[in-house]
Amino acid sequence: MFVFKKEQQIFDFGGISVGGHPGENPTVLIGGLFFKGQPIVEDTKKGTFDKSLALEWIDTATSMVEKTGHPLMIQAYGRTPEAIVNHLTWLSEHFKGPILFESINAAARQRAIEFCDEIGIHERVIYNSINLSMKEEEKEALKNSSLDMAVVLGWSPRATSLPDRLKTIIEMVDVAREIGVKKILIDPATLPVGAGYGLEYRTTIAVKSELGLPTCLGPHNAPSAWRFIKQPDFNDESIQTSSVVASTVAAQLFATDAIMYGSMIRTKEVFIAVSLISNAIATAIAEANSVLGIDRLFFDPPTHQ
Amino acid sequence: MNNQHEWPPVPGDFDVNDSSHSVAICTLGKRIEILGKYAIAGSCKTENIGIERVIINVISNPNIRFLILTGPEVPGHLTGRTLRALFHNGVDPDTRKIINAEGAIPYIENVPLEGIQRFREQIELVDMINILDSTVIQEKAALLAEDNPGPYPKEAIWIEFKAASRKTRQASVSANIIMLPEYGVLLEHTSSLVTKQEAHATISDHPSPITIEVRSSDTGTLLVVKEE
Repeated sequence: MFVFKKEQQIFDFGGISVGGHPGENPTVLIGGLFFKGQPIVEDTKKGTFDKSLALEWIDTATSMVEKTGHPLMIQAYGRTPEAIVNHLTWLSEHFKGPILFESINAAARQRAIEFCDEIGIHERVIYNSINLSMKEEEKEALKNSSLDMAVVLGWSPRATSLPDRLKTIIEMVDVAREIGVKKILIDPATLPVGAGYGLEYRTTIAVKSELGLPTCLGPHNAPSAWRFIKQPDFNDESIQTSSVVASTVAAQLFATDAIMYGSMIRTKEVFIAVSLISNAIATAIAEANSVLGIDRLFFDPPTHQ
Repeated sequence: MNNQHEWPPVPGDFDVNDSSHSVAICTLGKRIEILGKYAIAGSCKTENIGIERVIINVISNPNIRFLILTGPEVPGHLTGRTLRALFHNGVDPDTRKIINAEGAIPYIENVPLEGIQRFREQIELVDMINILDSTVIQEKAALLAEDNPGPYPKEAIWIEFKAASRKTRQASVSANIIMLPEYGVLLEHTSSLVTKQEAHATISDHPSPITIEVRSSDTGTLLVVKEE
């Protein structure tokens, strides 16, 4: 619930506006598909999965978008070049919104860049992510492609203070621009609980107040790796979901424009919680804008009252 | 018009064409380029601050006798319908809520009641909400100008548009919330504005605290003296 003095940039990612002042555009929710451990996944190397269940998840998410007004992007994971191509092929046919892709395998990412170019979906594909460990070969592949949207991961093990983290982000933004990326989402990286979790929320505020760029986060990574809720007493779906939801709405309140919420199995819970807080933000921003004399439109979420 | 003031008094997303013309054009959610003659034409996005700005810019120019309300209606805010309700019904003098308005937050708080009344008397509202064709709007403006009854017979009303926060904003840095000390970033709790810490000194506490703040702006450095 902040009004920044710094002018805020808004980029159009495949038809969805991301960025601006908190509350100006609806928080974008990014659901994850094809990650290891998801019930839809059958073979991570080949990229086979339960298509009917995946379609059910997408339908549920589409319905939540209509009910809440919060846009959806889907992040597709692929462990191998074969898997990522299979996933992107199916997803691009069954989901018309923006798609992010991610892999720990550089060959898979490079194949995905080429593939998105080949099938002509570059206008709604976001590369995740440009980061310090990106090799020249992959930078060249991205530069030579028609993809121009990317997540910029502003994280370095050496950047331990906020000014250092922001310096890393600025350097990575320069790299992104050098390789032809025009629309960026800044991800300050979520760290494990007790090992830095929380600093990313400070960094998103700093990115907005100092740079005015759109922000994104994957805060679900903190509860996903939290040993506390792996204990037998707590290791159930309601506790896992409530922790993911808590981390998501914390990011929403700390001026994150697009939030990766992890597995799409939790879509309903996440959208409901974000819609609730969105109502709170809209009311707060309306009063703040009025006090400041700012004539700026803001997202007016349905109250369902 | 009063030569001591520069018209229009409130800046915004609009074009001024001929301040002696009788037609003002409000294009609601979108700026529409309009050829031909008019006094002022521009967007108005919100059903409170936006409408207040329109009122202030109209009542400060008695030459304006018509307000064409056109352009796309603003979803959720219903700024066009709210402005129409204001013209027809006015505001509740106690709550300042626009009577029978459909918009989300239809309050006029920064314009005195006599300013609102004057607005309703000075202009004739021409309802063309959701018309986007600039030629149609231009032709309507030309037709209206032919029926110009002449300037409104009373003096211009000049209102300094100032946000309510200026009355309530905390002058003391200590009253704000420090968000990012590394960058001197503060949260002004009265307005939710994320701003920069200004160097300041308290030069007197009695009879009331007086502080001097050093402020940097695009035009240079200012020393601002404040009595709290």
